[in-house]
Amino acid sequence: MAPRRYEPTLGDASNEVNSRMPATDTTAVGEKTPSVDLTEYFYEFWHDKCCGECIPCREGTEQILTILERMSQGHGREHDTHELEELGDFMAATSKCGLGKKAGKHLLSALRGSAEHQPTPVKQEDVLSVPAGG
Amino acid sequence: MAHVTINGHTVECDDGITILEAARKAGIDIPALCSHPGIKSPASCRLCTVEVTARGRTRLVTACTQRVADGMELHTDTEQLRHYRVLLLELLLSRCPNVPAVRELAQHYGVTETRFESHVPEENCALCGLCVSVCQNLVGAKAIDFVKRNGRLEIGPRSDNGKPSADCIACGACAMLCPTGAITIHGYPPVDHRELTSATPRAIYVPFAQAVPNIPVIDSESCIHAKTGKCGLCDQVCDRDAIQHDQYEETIELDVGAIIVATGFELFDPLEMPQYGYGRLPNVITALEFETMSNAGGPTHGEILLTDGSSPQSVAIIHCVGSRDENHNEYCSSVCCMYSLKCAHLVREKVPAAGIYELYIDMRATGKGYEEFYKRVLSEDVTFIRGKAAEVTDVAEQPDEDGKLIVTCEDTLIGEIRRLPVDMVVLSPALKPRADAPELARTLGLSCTDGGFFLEKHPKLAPVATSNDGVFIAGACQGPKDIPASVAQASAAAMEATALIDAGSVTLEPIVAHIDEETCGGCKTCMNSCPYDAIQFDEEKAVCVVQEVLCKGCGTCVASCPAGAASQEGFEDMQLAAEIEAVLDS
Repeated sequence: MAPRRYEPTLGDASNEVNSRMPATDTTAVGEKTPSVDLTEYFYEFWHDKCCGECIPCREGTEQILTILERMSQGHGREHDTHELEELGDFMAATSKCGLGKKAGKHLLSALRGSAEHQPTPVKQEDVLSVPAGG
Repeated sequence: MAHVTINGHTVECDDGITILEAARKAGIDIPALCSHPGIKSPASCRLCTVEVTARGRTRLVTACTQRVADGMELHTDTEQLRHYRVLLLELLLSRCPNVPAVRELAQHYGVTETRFESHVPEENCALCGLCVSVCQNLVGAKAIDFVKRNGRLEIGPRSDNGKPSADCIACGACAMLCPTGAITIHGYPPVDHRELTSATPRAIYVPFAQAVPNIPVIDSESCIHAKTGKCGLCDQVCDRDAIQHDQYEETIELDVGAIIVATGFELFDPLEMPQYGYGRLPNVITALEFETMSNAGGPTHGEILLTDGSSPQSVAIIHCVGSRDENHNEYCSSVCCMYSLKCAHLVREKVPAAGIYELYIDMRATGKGYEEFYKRVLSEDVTFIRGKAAEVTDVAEQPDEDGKLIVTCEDTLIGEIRRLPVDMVVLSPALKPRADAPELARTLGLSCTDGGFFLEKHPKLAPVATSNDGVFIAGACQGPKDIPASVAQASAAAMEATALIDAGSVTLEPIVAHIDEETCGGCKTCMNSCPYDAIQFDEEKAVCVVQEVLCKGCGTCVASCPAGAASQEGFEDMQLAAEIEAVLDS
C-alpha cells in the first residue's frame, strides 16, 4: 500500500485548532471526531514507520489499516472489532521490536476506551475512541 | 550442561544452544519458517514464539534466538501460543496464499482459509528475511537486502537499475534455503546435460559413490568460504571438527618395490565430429551424460529429461562415435555396444512409450550373458538400424520433423537412406588413451601401441607385465575393456606385484652393460638412449654408471657411446671378433 498524507475530517471544520493534526506528542481533537478516523490516522503513521522485518507488525499493521479504512468508509463488517482486538493483542505479544508492540497496545487501548465509553452496541463508525494521551 | 523443562519434561542440553535446537533435539517440534541450522535467524516469522518462565518471570520469546539457561521452564504449545500461531498463519496466508509450505503449515494448525484480505495473491515471498541473513551473514556477498520500492517492502538488490546485483556470486544459497520457494536462479536452463557430468553438485561432496577412502572433499572453486572467507557452515554442523579449510592437494614421494599402472582411459570428445552436433544442438548428449541422468541419485533423480525439462518421445543412440573410424580411432572400443544397449533398455524402462533407435555398424556382444542381453533388448521394441549415422541436424524437411533432431543414416539392411526425427540423440563415444599417457610412458619406460595404449610384455604369456621390470599395467590403460576384464587384469597385476615384492630378491639378466670409468667422458649420450632408465650420472666422478638391477643388456648404450666406454659383458669387441674367427676357422 502506498504511503499517503492523510487529511482527516475532524468533526467541526470551523474549529481551526482541531482541524490540524501534526504528528507531535500532543494532538488536539474535537469531541465529535469519529474515533475510527483518528485511529486510522495513527495507523497510517505506524504503517509508514514499520520497518517490515517481522511478520506480525508488518502484516498486522497492513490488515488493521485495511479494516479501519473499511470501517471509516462505512463498510464495516460484523467481526471487524473482534478481529482488531485479536490483531492488537497478537502484535503486542509477538512483534520483534518496541514499535510493533506499541502499535498493538495502541489499538487495544483504543478499543478499551471505546468499550468504557460505549457500554451498549453502537454503529461501527463510533466504536473506537481516542486513547488517553494519544 | 543446562537443564530445562520443556512442556513438563526435563531435558538436558548443551549450554549456549537455542531453545529451538534444544527442543528439536528432544524431539519436540516447534514450527519455524525463517530458521536454518547454522544461520543467524532473522527472527522475523515469529512462528517459533514460546513461553519462558525464568527467575519467576514469564514472557514470550522466539525459540530460534533465545538461548537456553539452566532452570528455564518452557511451554511450546499453550492455548495462547496456538492462538497466536493461527493468527500468524492467517496473516501469512493472506500475504502468499499459493505457497504450498505455508498452506501445509497452516493446515497443520487447522487453518484452511484466512479472514484477512490478500492484496497481491500471486506473491510467493513471505519476506521472512532468511535469504538476506544467509547472503549477508553467512555468504558475506551482501547482494540482497530489504528494499522499499513504490511503497512496498521487498527483497532484492540494493540498486534498482533493473540489472542483477553485481555482488551476487550466484552461489544459490538463498534459493536453496527459501522456505516458500520464491527465489529462482536465472540464467540456467532447466536441464543442462553437459553441466550434469562436469559440475560438482555442491561445494562439499564425496568424489564418487563407493570412493575409498569414503571422505568428502571441498571444491575450492565453488566453496563460499574459499570465495568470501565467510560461511563455514560445514564447520558448525560437523560434530567431529573434521573440516579443514587449509588442506590442499600435495605431492607425496614414496619408495616402492613395484608399480601398477591403472590410469584408465579418456572419452573421445564428440566435438571432434561436428556432424553430430554435440555442443551445438541441444539434446545431443553423450552416453555418460545419459548415464548421469538415469542414476536415481543423480541431478534429475533418474529421470530422462530434455533441456526444457520434458521427457523425450523418441531417442536415437549412435554407436561407434570416434571408434572404428579411419578419421579418428581405428580400433573398436569394445564396451560401447553393450552400454548403448543398456541405454536403450533404460529409456524403455523410464519412458515406456518412447521410440528408440540403435544405429550400429556391427553388434559386438562378446561376453558372458551379453548375447542374451542383446536378445532381450531386441524384444523390447527397439528399432535396430545397421548403418553409421551420417549427421544430426535440426533443419526440418518434412512437417513431422519440425522442432526435432533429424538423424540421417543409411540403413544397409534395406539399402535406403533414412531420416529419423527424434527428441534426443545419445552418442556412444570411443574410449581412448589418456592425453598424458605418452608422458607417463616416458617416465616409467613403457611402450605404447599404435592407438596409444600401453603395451604389455607379451599378449599371451605376460599380459600384465611390461618391458620394464616391476611395472605392471591393468585396465583400460592397456586397451579398451569393460569392468569385469579390468578387474581380472588388476587382480593379476596385483598378484604379480606381490610375488615380486614377496620374493625379496630379483633375478638379473645375465648380460648387462658396463661403463669404463677411465674412458667415459660424461657426455650422457648413453643415458638418453637407454630405454630402461638404467644409467645414472655420478656427479662426483662425472661419469655415467649402469644400474645393473635395471639393465636388460639390450646394448643400445654400447652402440651409442662415442668414447667406446660402454661394453656388454661377454660381448666385448675383442670377444666378438674371436667368436667370428672361431666360426670362420671351423
